[in-house]
Amino acid sequence: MSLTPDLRRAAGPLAAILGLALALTIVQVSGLAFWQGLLINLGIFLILVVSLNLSNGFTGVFSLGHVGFMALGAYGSALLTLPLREKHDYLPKLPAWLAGLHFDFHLGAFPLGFLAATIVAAVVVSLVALLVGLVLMRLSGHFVAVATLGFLVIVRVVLINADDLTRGSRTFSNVTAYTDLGWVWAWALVTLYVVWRIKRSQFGRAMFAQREDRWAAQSIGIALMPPRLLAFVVGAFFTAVAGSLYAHFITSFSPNAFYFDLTFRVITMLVVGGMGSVSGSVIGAVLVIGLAEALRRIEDVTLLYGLSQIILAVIFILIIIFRREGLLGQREIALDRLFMKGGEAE
Amino acid sequence: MTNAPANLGEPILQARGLAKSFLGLQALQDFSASVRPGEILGIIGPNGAGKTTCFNLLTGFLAPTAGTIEFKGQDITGVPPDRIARIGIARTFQNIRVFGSLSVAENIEAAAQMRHHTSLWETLIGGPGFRRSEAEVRARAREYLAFFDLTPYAERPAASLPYGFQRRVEIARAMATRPSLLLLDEPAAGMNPAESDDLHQHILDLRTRFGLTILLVEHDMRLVMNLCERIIVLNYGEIIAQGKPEEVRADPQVIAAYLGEDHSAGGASAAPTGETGA
Ligand SMILES: Nc1ncnc2c1ncn2[C@@H]1O[C@H](COP(=O)(O)OP(=O)(O)OP(=O)(O)O)[C@@H](O)[C@H]1O
Ligand SMILES: [Mg+2]
Repeated sequence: MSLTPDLRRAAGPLAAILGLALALTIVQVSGLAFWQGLLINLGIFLILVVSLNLSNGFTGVFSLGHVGFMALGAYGSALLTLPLREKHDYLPKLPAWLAGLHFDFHLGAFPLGFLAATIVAAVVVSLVALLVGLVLMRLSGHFVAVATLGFLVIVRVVLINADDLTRGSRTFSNVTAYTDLGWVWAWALVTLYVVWRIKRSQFGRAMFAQREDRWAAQSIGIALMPPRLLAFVVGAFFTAVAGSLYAHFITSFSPNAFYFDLTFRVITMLVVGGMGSVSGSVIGAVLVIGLAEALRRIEDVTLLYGLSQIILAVIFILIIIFRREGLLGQREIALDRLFMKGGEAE
Repeated sequence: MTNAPANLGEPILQARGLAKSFLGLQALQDFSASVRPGEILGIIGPNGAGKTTCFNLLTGFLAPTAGTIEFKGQDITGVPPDRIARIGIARTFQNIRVFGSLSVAENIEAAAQMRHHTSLWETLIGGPGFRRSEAEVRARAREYLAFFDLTPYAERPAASLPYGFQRRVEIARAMATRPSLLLLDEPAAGMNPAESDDLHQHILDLRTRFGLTILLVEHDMRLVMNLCERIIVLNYGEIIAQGKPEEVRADPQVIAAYLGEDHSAGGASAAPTGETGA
């Protein structure tokens, strides 16, 4: 072939994206509701686990509070996209400035308001993450885990008590079902791209270095807080995006949706794939979702409900014991080398 | 880049009355020293004498209980370690601290990038600025890998290398930040005489090639005596002697300090070749 290395490097990812687009189109057009739901689910979890990997895997600062950002993203964007009139009836005590905001505008048939609401919610959540991170990212080890778990609990308590905005512990419904395969996978690709770029950059190196050895990192000019904060805040941004996609997919939810269950599921995906490996996270998400789906069917047949959760937990424990680095550790399956001869990889 | 190890000009590093105590234990007291550009200064002393503590103070990893540090005429007392590295002081650690699960090349790149900043935006769009600085970082890392004969191991996880190689990775990593002052904490620990001779040559090469000033903490007396122009001897946190190697070697207090310790190799050379505890 006479292609330049640049083109050949792009060939792998391009082929993957085209393949994905083709598969999604087929599923979308065929109207196979089951597969559509499954793939949307997978895409949302992919965003969750890849962004968790950025915050936890790259930096080694193990946060258990990320699902809290997802909750804030879900509620925030849902509040924004509620059509004006409904908003008034549904949440009568909404503060005036919020009640006046509406993001249900379209550009032709394209729900531009949904995109805007998702971004606005994610930016606000990132700011929250910045404040939380400024305090918590100074900690390490078990302290971070406990403190971020505290954050998750606080978010839930706030959501339950902010009745005027969230309807408290009652179900928040009437959310427009904007989310479809296209939205989810477009955002998933953006997330993958950004996290991948960060990994292969100065920022990623700084994150991994301070994860490996804090003193050594500082001795070569890497301060601890900036890489940690960057990972935490960008991770929170995409986690909030996943929240928004989830809200406009499921269309009704309550604070319970964003708690230990979900936290555990995402962490399992992360650990299965490998802390620090982006492609590992993708594999982790596919495996765990596939397995959960299969087990759910076994539950339906055997009537042993709860079986799937137990089996996932057991798998998690086995991995922690026998293969702590997960399937890939922090290595990557490099798509960009797919079409290259051995020697020119660098 | 060229340098004659001379004592012209201002001291590059000046410590005045440095002290550090840990919960009542006086690990270092009244440490004053002035280091000339291009000099190789040795700091020796029995185990627990305060050598590593001294390095930790100079590089900002510990805050002194008293005293000041000046580097190139600038007061750097209390400056955090990452900023000290940026000002031009690099170090290695007595108990090896490589980035174990990163490859050797990545270890060096992480240090080489210190002088190549790219914005987050440029990084995300993968623009020309990002590509240029990545290429520079990699090229520089390759240079240091080659200089330290680490090229064949570039892709191996650092933790998988033998002890002596890991020490070399640490020195290469420190050098990749392009420092003007390098602090080596027992670089020869665990090396056999041949490896230690090799290290000796490498340190001399570093100085001539990069115009480096070097502080060396080392228990390998052969290395210290042959390499250093001047030596400071610490005992129980205090300077008990300093001067040229032959002066220090003949100093009764130094001999007493070393013989007071239970070292077997003390006899002939007055100062033992003792191994380190850590
Ligand atoms: N972080 C610390 N907390 C408490 N005590 C410390 C700490 N670091 C060092 N010390 C004590 O300070 C004294 C000096 O220790 P230091 O590590 O500086 O000695 P050293 O000269 O480097 O010894 P070695 O040759 O064994 O490396 C020792 O008594 C040590 O136990
Ligand atoms: Mg020491």
